[in-house]
Amino acid sequence: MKDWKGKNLIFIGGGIAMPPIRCAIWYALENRADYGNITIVYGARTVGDLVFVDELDQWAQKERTSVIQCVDPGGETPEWKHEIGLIPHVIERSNIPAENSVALVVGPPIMIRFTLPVLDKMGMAKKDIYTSLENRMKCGIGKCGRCNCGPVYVCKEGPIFSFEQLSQLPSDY
Amino acid sequence: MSDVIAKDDLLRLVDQWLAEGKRVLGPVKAGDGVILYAPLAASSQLVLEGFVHAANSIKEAVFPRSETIYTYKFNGHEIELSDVDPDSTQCIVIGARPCDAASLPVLDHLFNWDYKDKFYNARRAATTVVTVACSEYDDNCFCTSVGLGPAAEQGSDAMLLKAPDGWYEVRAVTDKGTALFNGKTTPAPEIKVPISDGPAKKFDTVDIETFLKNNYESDAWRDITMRCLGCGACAYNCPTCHCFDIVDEGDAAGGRRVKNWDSCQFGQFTVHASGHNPRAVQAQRQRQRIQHKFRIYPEKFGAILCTGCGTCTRNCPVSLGVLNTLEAIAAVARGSIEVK
Ligand code: SF4
Ligand code: SF4
Ligand code: FES
Repeated sequence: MKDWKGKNLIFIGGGIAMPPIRCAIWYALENRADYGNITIVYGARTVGDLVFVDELDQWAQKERTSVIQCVDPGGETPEWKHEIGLIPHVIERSNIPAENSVALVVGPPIMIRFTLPVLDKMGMAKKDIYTSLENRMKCGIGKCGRCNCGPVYVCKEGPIFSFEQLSQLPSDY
Repeated sequence: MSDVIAKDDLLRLVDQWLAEGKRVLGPVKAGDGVILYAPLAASSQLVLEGFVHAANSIKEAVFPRSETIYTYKFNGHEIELSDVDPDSTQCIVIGARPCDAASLPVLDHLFNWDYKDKFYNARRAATTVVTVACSEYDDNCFCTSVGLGPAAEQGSDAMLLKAPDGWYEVRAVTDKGTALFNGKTTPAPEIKVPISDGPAKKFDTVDIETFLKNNYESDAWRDITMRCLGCGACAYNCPTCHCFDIVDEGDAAGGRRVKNWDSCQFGQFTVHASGHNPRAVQAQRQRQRIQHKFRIYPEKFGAILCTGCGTCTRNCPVSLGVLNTLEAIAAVARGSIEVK
């Protein structure tokens, strides 16, 4: 994240991805002066599936920080005041600035698959879009043969990949 | 001059190894007449000729089906971990086919890139491999298509070649092989043991690799591998397949962490915690096996992850294995089979 100093940051988390992406969000907020605008997009299937909601509200109060919360259609409650829609759709209609931005996308593979092209279409460079692959692992040391995505052992050579790197790999994730 | 040993002396030597407490692994006739590589109790069990290839491979010498990597104990809220020493019992594999031995230098790459696997390396260092050059082959053999052959020496420490009148020529390949037969052989005038040419070449690995590079998403995978049952017999018996699972076996007091053979042909192999499976259908699992052996491994380690032993096809309940898949791929690449 040190390399992203001076950039706008877009954090996109789906479902149970909030715990892992939260550390990166904390880091950015603790070093607030180093970064431009921060956008946090967090969605889950239903309202009940959202975690750390108190923190989301606190983050929304921080300077130059906006939080977009969403749930899948049908997952809302009568009190739900935020977005309804799948994460890629919500991003598409939300005017997040693409310029000078870096995006970190964490979530289920299906969400990743549909979200990366949306960011690409917004005008972000593929090398500035990062994601984390969730391939099943056992050994973590490049031996058990389980986690590979084509020629890449996700445990050794990932799990963080840029969209640029991911475009070179088969869709085994 | 050639070094030779009489078969009787060879068998006596095997018994001597056993008496010295060494583990000896060789082809034996199992109850149902199937030839298997198994630990010997006596040299009388050893079957050196009269079959093309055992139904399994010698990989158990270096990569057992189940191996404890550490143990653990619960002490209140503390967990106590204890290392398990790698097994370095001296092991001699006798009667392996050259295609079995050739798997070892190939596997060395995987177990030593980045992290060095001490369990594999300890067994590997303690293992001496004595092969018998092949005098027969069957329709499933394709060693010559992957750069090997009936007397290929890769991975052998010593090779036996069947000479007339109950003699074997002994060719030491490595220092380990020289040491093993030191003083046990007799010099004989140069004998010309005829070596078969092996099976005719069945495909070109360069064509296969090119196809694999360009056709990850091809419908050919579905068409060619449709009949695969996902039983994993191919992988378990393959000398080069090395995928494993890691599980904890224990109770409230403690237990052990174990490494067990696994196979990319099983549906559960890649299932995520969420239930999502990147290889949801069998054709994707077959594609993985072929891509891994003929493209990924060569790209990564400079070696094909297949020695052409044909064991996978012989064991396959639907006669697929890699050979039929590769021949079909070669045919699709040539345009002689159309993908619908
Ligand atoms: S893939 Fe088949 S032919 Fe190749 S080494 Fe394994 S068992 Fe032998
Ligand atoms: S190729 Fe044959 S042996 Fe291998 S998993 Fe499929 S059916 Fe079983
Ligand atoms: S988790 Fe075992 S190879 Fe990556």
